Amino acid sequence: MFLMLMAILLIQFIPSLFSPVSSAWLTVQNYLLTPMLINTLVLALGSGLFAGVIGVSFAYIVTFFRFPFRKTFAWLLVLPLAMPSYVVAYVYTAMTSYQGTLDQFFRLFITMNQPLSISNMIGAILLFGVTLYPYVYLSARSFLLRQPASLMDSARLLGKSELAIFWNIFLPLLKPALIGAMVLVMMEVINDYGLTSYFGLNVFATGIFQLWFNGNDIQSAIRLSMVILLVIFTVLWIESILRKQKPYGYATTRLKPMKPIPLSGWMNTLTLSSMSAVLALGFFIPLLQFLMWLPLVNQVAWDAFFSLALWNTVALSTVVALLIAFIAFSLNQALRKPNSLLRQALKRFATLGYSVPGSIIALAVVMLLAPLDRWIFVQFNLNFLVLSSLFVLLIIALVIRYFAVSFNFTESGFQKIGMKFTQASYTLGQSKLATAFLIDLPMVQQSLLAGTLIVMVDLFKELPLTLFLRPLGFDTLATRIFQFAGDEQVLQSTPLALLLIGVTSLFVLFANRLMIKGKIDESIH
Amino acid sequence: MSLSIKHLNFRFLEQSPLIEDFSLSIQPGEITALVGLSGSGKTTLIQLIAGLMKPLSGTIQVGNHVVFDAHTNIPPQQRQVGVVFQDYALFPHFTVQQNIMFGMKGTKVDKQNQLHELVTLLDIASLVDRYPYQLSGGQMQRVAIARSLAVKPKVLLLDEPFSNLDSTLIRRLRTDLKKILTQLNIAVLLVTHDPMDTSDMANHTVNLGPLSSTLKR
Repeated sequence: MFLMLMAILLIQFIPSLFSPVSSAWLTVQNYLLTPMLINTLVLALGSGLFAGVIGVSFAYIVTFFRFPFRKTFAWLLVLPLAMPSYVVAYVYTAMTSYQGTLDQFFRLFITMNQPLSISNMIGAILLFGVTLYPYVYLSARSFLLRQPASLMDSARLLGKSELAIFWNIFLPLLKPALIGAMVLVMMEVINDYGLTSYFGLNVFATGIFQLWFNGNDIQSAIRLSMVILLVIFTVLWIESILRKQKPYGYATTRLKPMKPIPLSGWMNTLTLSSMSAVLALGFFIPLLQFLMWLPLVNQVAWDAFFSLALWNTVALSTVVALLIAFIAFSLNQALRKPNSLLRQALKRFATLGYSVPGSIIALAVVMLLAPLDRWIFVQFNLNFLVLSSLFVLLIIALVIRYFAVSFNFTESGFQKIGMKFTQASYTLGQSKLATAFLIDLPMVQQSLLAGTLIVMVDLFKELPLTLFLRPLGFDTLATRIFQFAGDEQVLQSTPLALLLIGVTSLFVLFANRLMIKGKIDESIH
Repeated sequence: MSLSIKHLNFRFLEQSPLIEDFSLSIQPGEITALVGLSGSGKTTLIQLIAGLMKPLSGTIQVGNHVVFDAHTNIPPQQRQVGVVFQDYALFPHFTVQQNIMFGMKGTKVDKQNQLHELVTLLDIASLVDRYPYQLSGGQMQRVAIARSLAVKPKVLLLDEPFSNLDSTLIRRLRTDLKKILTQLNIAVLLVTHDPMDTSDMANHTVNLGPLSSTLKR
C-alpha cells in the first residue's frame, strides 16, 4: 500500500509535462533556470564536500587517536545534528549585522567600512557544512569502529605514517560510506527552504515555492520539480556508480578492537582547536546567542504562541514518528529474505522519499489528494476540507519524506539479529504475527527506538512540508521561528528556538547512546 | 515417528545444485549422523526438512504426513519438526523458563508440568530463572534441546550441537544426550563434522556430498 502510494505520487507528474506552458514558466526557463541549476549544484556540492571533509577527518581522529577529552568530543560532535540550519542562519545574520555581537567583536580589533555579511553562497555552504557534517561523522565512525586493530598495526609496522595510512588504507575503504553520507548532505541542502529563502538564494526549493504560492502556477512548479528530480536522479546514479566496489569485509566478527594512539603536542592543539571551532560554529555560538537574547524577549510576544506551537509540534511529530516506526517495522519484516532482488528494488523505492525535496512531495500529495478532498467536501456538504484540516495530507507527506531514516535503522537491527531467532520461533510452532511481536520486535527495539528518535529530530526541525501543507492557522515551533525571522524579529523567536534545540539535542544524545550501546550501524540513512 | 526423504533437490539461485537426488530414512528411536565437507549443504538440508527453505523437488515425510512434495508445502510452524540450532538461538530477552515454555500449548498447569519434566530430564532445574547470557555453553545446549522438545516434535534435527563447546564437556554431553534421545523414541538427525559424534551417538551415518552414501553401524 505504502509502495503503491509512492509509485502513484511520482507517476502522476508525467501528464503535467505535456500541458501548455505558462508565461511564468517561459520566464523561468529563459532567465532563471540556468542560474538556479548552477546555484543549487554549487551549494549542494560545496556543502557536501565541506561536511565530508569535516565529518570524515573528525571520525578518523576520534576513532584512532588519543587526545584530551576524546570521549567527550566523540558524543559532542553529533550535537549539531540537533541544530536546524535555518536557525543557525538567522542567528549568524543577526550577529553579523550592524551592531550585532560578531560585528561589535570584530570592530574591537579592525576598522570595517561595512558590516560583515554571511547571507551569501559561501556563508550558506559554511553553515550547512557545520550543521550537517554529523551525518558523515556518524557514518564514517560507525565504519571505522568495525575495522580491526591489525589493519592499523600492520600498516604502521610497514613504515607508513598516520596520514599515509588514512589516505591509502582507510579512505579507499571508507569510500562507499563516505559517498553515501555526502550525497545525503547534498539532498538535505537541495531540500532546504528555510536557510536558502532567508539568504535570498535563487535555488530550486525557493523557485518551486515562489511559483506555487506567489505565482499560484502549479503546472510550472511541477515542471521545475521534474528538473530537480532529474538532477537528483543523476546524482543518485553517479552515487551508485561511485559506490560500486567489492564489499570489503571480514569473515569473522571477533576482531581485536582498535587501541587509540596518543597524538603529539601540536597535533593535539590542532585537533582540539578545530573540533572546538566547528562545534562552536555549529552549535554553541548560536545557543549562547539565544541565551543572551532570552532576557530581552518581550514576554507578550511569545506567551500566546509558545504552548500551542509546542503542543502542535509534539503531537504532529509523535503521530508521524509512530506511524513511520510501524511501517518501517512491518515492511522490514515483510522484506527480510536476504539477497532478494525484489527486496533490494522495493527497499530502494520505499526509501526514495528522503532523496526527494519536501516541496516536490508536497506538490505530489496535493495533486493526488486535493481532488478527493474537494469531492468529499461537495458530496457530504461539509464546511471544511476534511483531509487538509485533519492533517491527512501533511502526515502522508511527512511519512514519505522521513520513512527512509526509520527503515534503515530498523533494517540494521534486523541484520544484526539475522534469521535464526525468527526461524527458531517458527520451528516452535509460533505464527508469523506472534513471532513478529514476541521475538523480532523486542530484539530490534533499540534500533527502532534510535531510528524513531532521529525521525523525531527531523520532524521537530521540519519546515518546507509543514509550510506547504499545514491547515490554516496551524503552527509548529519551526514555522513560528521561520515567521519571526521573516518579520525581522529573530530575537522574539528565542524561547521557541531554545526549546526546539533543547528537545532535539536530548533526542540526538539519547539516540547516539542507544547506537553505541546497541552497536547499531550509525550510517543514518 | 519416522523421517523419510526421497529424491530431494535444491540449489540457490543461479548456482549449481547443492543437494541432488538425496534420499534418507530414519526410524523412530534411531539417531542418524549427517556428515560432509564444509559447504556440502548439511545445514541447508536441516532448513529444508524444517520448512525454513523450499526444495526444488522431492518428497519429505514426517511419520505418515507428507510435509513437502510437488503439491504440498507445510509451513515450519505445522511440521512438528524440532531444531537445535548450531548456536542454539536462545531468545536473549527471555529467561530459561520463558525460552522453554515459548512453544508449549495447553493450560498453565499442563505447561508447568511439562516444564518440570523437561528441566528434570535435562538437569537444568536450577537454571530456570537465568537469562541466556548467564549460561555456559553446555547449559545453553541443554536449554535449546529442552525448548525444542517442549513442542513434542515428531522429528528432532540437531545442527552441529557440540561445535561451540570444549572437548572435555563434549564427551560427557554426548553420553547424556544419547541417553535422553533414546528415551524419547523419535527420529533424530544429527549434523556433525566430528567423527567422534558419529561413533559415540549415531546408529547410521549419511555422507552428504558428491558420493552420498549411508553406512549402518
